[in-house]
Amino acid sequence: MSAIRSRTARIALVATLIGTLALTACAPRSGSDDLGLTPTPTPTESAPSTPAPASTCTNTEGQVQPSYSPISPDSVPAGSSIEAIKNNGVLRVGVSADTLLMGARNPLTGQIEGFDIDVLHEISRAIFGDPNKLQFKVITSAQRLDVLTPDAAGNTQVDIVARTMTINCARWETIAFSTEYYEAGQKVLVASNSEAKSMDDLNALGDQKVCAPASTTTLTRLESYSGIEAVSAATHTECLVLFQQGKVDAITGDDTILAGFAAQDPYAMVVGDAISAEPYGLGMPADKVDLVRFVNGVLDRMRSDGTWTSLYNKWLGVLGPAPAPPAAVYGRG
Amino acid sequence: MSTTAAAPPPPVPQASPQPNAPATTVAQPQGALAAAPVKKTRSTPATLRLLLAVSVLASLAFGAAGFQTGSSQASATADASAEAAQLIGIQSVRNDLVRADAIAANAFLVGGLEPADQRAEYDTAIDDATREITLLAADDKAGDTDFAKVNAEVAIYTGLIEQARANNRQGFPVGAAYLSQASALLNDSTLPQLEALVLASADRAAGSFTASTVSLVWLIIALAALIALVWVHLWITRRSHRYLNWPLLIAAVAMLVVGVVGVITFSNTTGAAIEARQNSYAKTLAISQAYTSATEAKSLESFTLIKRGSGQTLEAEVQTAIADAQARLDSRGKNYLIGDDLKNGFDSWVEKHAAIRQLDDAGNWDDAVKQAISQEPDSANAAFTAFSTAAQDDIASSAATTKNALDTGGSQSALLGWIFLVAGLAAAVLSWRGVSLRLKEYR
Repeated sequence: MSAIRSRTARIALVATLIGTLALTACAPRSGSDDLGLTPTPTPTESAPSTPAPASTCTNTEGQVQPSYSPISPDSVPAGSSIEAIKNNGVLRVGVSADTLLMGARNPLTGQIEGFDIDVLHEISRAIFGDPNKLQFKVITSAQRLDVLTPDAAGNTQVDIVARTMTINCARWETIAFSTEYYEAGQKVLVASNSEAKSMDDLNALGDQKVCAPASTTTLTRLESYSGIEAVSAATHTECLVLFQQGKVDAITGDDTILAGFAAQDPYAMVVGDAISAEPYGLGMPADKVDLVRFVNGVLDRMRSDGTWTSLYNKWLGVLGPAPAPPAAVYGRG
Repeated sequence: MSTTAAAPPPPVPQASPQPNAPATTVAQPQGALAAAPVKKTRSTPATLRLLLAVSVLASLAFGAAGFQTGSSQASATADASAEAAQLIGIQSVRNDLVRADAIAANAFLVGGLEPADQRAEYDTAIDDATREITLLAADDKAGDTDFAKVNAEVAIYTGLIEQARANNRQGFPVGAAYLSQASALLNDSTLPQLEALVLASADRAAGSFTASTVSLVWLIIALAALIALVWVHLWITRRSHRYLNWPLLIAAVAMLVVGVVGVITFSNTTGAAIEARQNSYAKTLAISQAYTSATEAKSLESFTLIKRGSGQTLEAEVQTAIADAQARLDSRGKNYLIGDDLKNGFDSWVEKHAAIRQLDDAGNWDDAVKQAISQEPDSANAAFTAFSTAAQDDIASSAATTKNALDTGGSQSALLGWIFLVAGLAAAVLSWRGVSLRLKEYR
């Protein structure tokens, strides 16, 4: 009897003990459970913005696409988009913050300054009577057309883009340009001990890596050289980083931009003749014809009253004595 | 000479049933032999010898099972404790690096001349990170070479930052490009590697936590041993008409007591590990990850301002990081409690961040920067520093709680393992003595 009792007791004890342990056990958890990580679906690469369909229009070498004829910059026409800007209190501009001499943030003052910027200050002065009513938006080369393209509500992100932008007919299809305010030329920057003295030399050397910013006319032009491997970067300045790190052999770009690089790097030099003419224009939304006319008026006044030349000497004097300001070409109505 | 050395050893004489022979080798063949012939024919001394072997073996098995359980549980909790510390360490490296990047970017906003205290803060962050990486690599159980890679990348990163500084100081805009290249290296390569290390470490910690839940095999062995001893005792008392065999009885009672204490201790340790995992360990991870996300948001803020007007895309990332941090700091429905102070501290930075973004979005970049770089007591930087200090303190204290719980449980289990071993050996001696006493009566 006692044996049976003790056996039952023993079974009960076993059951209790096992129960105690079983209670404390729990389902296995993984490390990511502990970290509270939710399995995230692998992010799908956002499709690169499809490049604008190749334009069918052709640029004639040496001829600048015409702009709209100017209006007087002395007064703001009532009911115009210029008046809307004036009422807004600021002129929203898309600029570069890292293109020395044209549009760059001065690390010492924190201000963005350069030739492009001073042209914008003149426009601000014409609209507001105050050169400093500018609201800067720093953009990359690739963003230049996007910020001028109206969204669904018909608004653009900026009013004017002044960012070393070449006037060409393909861009005229989506935005409007002022008259040419500066004539740059595409050149090449190489190490100061390089044998290459021009783009053709680089091409002949073969197997040369040449950097240019994405979505620029410069990058497109590089593709015609068989001995050159085009390397793209987000901005011109990132090209300079790659150049200083020895990851590319040369940088191609407009002489204005390259002059700024040479000023930052004593072991770099700009060589050769310009392989192309790059007429710079101020970009504006395609439908703001009155603004384009007004800006053209401001530019005309700058050409005639010596402002243009003094700005050239202030910023681009390193490139040589000031040439005559580029002539305005009208003819678009 | 070599032949003699190589010669096979003389065959060990089959242990004949000698009462004093070591029980281990004798037991099996004897038991097997005894099973075949008719039960009745076995003499009492022969049975007693068998019982002697059974009781000694049972006692030894009891000791071994308990010792093994105790020591494996102790080592599992020690592993979990070490791995939890490792994990927190890797996350703190990550946080230090992100913080350094935030300071570098913030200093860039100030201008060419970097404020000395910000520079010192950057140096501290990098110093902490590199020091910690070395320690982590030394403590690393998985032998990951990734720490070496991370270390190498930190060296490249700091080089790029120095170039950014040098250029920035001369007023060259290329400095900003070096800064963004350094940042890209950190974000695209170094941080993902650290995240992978965090996950691997969390997996190892999870494995150790799970291993600290002991298997029940030991309990079955211990119970079987106890039952065997009690059964031997019953058999002997029935045959010898003596009610108590003291040595056997003491052995059985000792095993019972140690066994019960074992059940309590082992399940206590298991419970402590589970409790720590759901409570202090989970809390540590939650705050640590919230802190990581917060640092990331803070760092991105500077980059949204450097973009000047084009920062909206980055601001979306800032908001994601903020939301993640806030969700992790919300302990509602969790087993642990995160103080409101910490949440409010973070929220006050979030408000200041929103004000800065509002200024920049409205085109008032200069004021936005002024607020972003201000070190005044009510500035965004001050709010973030306060949150950061509080978060680091909380991480340290809950990590200490976890370590304490695991280490205490582990050392108790280890101690108990030894007690099992001693109890098992003692029970073996006692039961040998107890059965031998009866066996002597048949001589």
